[in-house]
Amino acid sequence: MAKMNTINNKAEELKIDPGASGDSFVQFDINGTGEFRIGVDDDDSDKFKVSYGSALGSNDCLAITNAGEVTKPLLPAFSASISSFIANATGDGTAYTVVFATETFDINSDFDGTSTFTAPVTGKYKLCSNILYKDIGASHNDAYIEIVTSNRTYRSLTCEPSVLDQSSTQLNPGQISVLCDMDASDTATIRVKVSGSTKTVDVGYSAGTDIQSIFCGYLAC
Amino acid sequence: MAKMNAINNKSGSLTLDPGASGDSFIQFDINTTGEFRIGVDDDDLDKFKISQGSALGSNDTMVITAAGEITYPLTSAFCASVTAWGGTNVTGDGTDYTIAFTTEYFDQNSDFDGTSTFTAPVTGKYYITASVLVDEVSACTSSQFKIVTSNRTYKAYVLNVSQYAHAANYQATYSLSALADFDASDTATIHVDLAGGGKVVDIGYGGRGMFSANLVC
Repeated sequence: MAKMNTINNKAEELKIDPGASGDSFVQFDINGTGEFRIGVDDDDSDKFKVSYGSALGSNDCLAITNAGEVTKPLLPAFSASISSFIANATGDGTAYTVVFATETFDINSDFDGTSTFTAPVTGKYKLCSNILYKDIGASHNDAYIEIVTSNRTYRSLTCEPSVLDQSSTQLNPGQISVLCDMDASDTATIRVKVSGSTKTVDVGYSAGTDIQSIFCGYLAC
Repeated sequence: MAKMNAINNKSGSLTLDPGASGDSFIQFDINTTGEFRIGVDDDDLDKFKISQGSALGSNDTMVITAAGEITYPLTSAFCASVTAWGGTNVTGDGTDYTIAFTTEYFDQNSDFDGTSTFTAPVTGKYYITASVLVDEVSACTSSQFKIVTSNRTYKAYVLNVSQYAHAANYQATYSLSALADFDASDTATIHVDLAGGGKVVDIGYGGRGMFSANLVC
């Protein structure tokens, strides 16, 4: 049987204290390679961290402040928007996969910079989207927004969008958010469709920090 | 250079066992001050915990049950609703109204001010959701529903809103959510702005307006 180091005396607690300065930590190695380190980062307000590798403060996977706020600085999370209208994307029943070319952030680099989020690991992901339409006319008779994942498609339908606007201006008929089951390498995109008339409906637009069309998500569990 | 204690036998393992009772834990101190403790709380169904200070069961920041459920009892999260009416005659003429959510369901870490403003305690990404019912919109031709943060504004437009509303009582509900980037001390508020009519629009009848947020990463 392999040797194990055991502390089994109730009074003999395991306490780690570097003294006046330095991190207080336990490191997990395999064959001499530092895999993970857990402990208190003396250089960062004494936060408790779980860090990949052999240093607290680099590749921090989990960080907990003294007040109990928990951050996961490397967790897959992204937010992207549309910077200008995509002209004549739908209106005649065309299902259009929306391009979100402006990234606000993309932790772990799982969004491709255009339209597709790819799950890095199997898990449950919270995804949401809000889309601005322009030039919906009197004859356009239904509209939907979909989150299209490898496992299933989630749809939010707005009936008779023309009642919202008949003045060739802009509207958000609705938004969609869902907790999705995704396997590693599964993908998610946003698809919109407006039907009933001509292909004259524009999609998107955000002006600087004014975000009116967005696709965002994160690994929930 | 500080000395390090190494365990390098084949198993590479370290087992902590207090015996018949007591917690099994590792304590992380700096200069004799207990900063964090991790381990199994014998007094709480043997949950694995990461606790600030020098005791499991006090200031638990992360808790894992034997079934694998993970909770963060102290991390930033709140949910509040409007109380009865969130405001009467507050918009309709283009007035940008900041909604008051004065009924708190919970406010973990006390980051919501009890009326309208959430303040991020640390830099991170926060998931924000908001919804509200508006009433007396029959004369309104456009509306905006907004999550206004220090870094950017997330916005939903509805034009010809009077047609969007329920015809019998001219009510409509807006909702919006976003994963937003916050710096420490950045704020978020919820706004509604209806235009095209008189300033007669009421907000949140019967408490039908919600604002919530949680620190994601």
